[in-house]
Amino acid sequence: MDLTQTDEDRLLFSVVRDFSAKHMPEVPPREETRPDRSGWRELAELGLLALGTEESRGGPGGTWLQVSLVARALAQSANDQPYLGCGVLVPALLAAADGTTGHVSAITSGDRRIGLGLRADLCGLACAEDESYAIGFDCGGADALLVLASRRPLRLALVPAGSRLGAIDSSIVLTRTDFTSTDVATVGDPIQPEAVASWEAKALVAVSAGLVGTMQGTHSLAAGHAKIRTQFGQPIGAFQAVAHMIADQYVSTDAALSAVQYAAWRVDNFPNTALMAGRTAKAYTAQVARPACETTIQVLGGMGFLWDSWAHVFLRRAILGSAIFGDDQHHTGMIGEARSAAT
Amino acid sequence: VIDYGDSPAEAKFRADLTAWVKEALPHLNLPQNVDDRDQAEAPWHRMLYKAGWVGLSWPVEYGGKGLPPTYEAILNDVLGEAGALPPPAIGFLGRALQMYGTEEQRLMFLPGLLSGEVQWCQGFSEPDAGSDLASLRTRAVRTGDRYVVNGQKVWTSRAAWADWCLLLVRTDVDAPKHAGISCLAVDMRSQGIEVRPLQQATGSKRFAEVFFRDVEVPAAQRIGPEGGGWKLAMTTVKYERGPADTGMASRYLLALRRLENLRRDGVLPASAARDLGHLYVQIEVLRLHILMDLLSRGAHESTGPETSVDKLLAIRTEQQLGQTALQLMTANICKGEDADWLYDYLRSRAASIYGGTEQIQKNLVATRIVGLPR
Repeated sequence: MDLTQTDEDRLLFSVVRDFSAKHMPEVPPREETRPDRSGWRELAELGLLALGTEESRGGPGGTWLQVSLVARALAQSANDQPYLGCGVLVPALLAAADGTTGHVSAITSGDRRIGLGLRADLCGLACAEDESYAIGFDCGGADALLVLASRRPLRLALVPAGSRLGAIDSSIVLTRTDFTSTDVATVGDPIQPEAVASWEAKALVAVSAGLVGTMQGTHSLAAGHAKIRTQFGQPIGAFQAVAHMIADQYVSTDAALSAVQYAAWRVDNFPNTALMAGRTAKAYTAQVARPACETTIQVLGGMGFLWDSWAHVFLRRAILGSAIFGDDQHHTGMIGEARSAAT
Repeated sequence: VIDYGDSPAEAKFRADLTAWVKEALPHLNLPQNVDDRDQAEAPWHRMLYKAGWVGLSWPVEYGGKGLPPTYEAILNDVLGEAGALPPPAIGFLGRALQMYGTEEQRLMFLPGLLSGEVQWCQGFSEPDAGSDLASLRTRAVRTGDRYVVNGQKVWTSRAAWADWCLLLVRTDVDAPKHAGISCLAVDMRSQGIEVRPLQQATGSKRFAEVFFRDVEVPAAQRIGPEGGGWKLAMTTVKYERGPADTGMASRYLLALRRLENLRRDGVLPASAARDLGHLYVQIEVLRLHILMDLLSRGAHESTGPETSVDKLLAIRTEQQLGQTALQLMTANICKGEDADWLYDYLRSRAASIYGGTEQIQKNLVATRIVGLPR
């Protein structure tokens, strides 16, 4: 056992964190935005698009631990690039099928964006056979959504990206595409169910890593404010009532980080049995992320309740991230059943 | 490189240890009554020592094996999984003696501490010095080559059968409160020591109060410099019974398995699955955080205040476990059945009090880690 980070991964994290901080405006945008193209180019030039997808499949290679570092670093500054969806989860799913290398290469180079098509409850992939529509997740700038064409055989398909929804977070693009009124174009050969299960573990880790980044971002906001905001003649962080809320927030954040790091290692080394670790990470991050963001609003007081504070953006992201691929209730139920089936 | 897997040497260690525990456990006669389990600690300590499982990460020159902390983590894992008692909590005392003891003191105390032949207790808290430990008043007056000790300690676990006590005393009443404290190693058979058991809310009599009346302690048994007791206590307390070295996560997992079995046997409703899954997540995250704390920062950074994060997670987990069990079996517990679950629940309420209260731990996280002003 050895849990020391390599210098390479440390460097990767700081490069992405700097990129993300550089692109963070002073105040959150007042209207719906689209991620700008130059930022996406930069991510492509840094070799971060399709990270974690093998070179033989058209990706740049890399580990899922690195994917989780990048996702976390971006989320710390509430970055608006659709990295989770278009950047890593779509190419990783495409790579599960033979005959998709061309699509993956176009993603890696930054030339094409494809979003992820989810079921209406946001808990999993939409299947064109079973559902009447798909919700496109994290698909800013995407022209298509990746969905399941059918379950037997298990095949992928692309559908048009559909129309944008006025979703919870104005910088993360969600869309809706009706299967009945559109072409469902299958892509690649049929894939094995196990490949989808191990992709699910990857998805849970990536989304959980984003939630940890969101928690780290909101925690910095609260801690920074508590150090400089003075009331009753002293910084409010000196009051235990405030300090203890922030301590709780830190504890949850650090614990969530340890769960995500382990799950990412599991995905990299035992992809076929990583789902339990992925569920654990997702259940825990979904349990603690929203309360952590609520704490920041409380610590910032009236200032934290203004649109111009990032506090509500972190909160919105926490709510969205918790729901994507299932919240804590969803996964603790699955875990409880799986453990009793095993004993 | 981040790697949660065992190296070949670690895997061999784990396999050897697992085989040994399987062989040894039936001979331990672990008392059913949780209350009596403390009594089994000393024989268990000696069994572990004879088999070579104690002092894994201690320096070789003090009788240890000089192994990395990974091996202590594996020891905790395996003992916890097997439902054995945790390894002896000698890290704190060992560290204090190694860092502050004279060569003579090390030779005198370390071998017995390591082997379990000599049992120790810790005389820190007093009736008026709990969270504010530095206000302690037990007085030691130097006369010639000895100290004369008068005062009272409380919440002293293991006092009833301990051979020695690591005692914090006030040697200088005029110095600022932190600077007037010294540390003495006191023979519990000394004249003038009286141990009285304390009954806790659970009904247990594990704890005691200890009275000192004109107890003479040779000055050669002072550990560290006069007035250096607070520094000794604070720099070494992070090695004391931390969640990292008491196998907490493994023991909680064992309690969860008991609940899962009750559900499988139909004693608990099928609908409890989600509650039990929730508990699993809390326990697993605690385990992973302890590992991260022990292995990723241990090598080059101070592990000091991070222990408080482990402790706070352990408090949340243990109390959640106690509450869930209570809720699932509340009628039976009220009728006097399932007494062990009532015991576990009640004891979980002490988790946020002993070893530094939850509020003190949060103060430490807020000031030492987050950097909030005091």
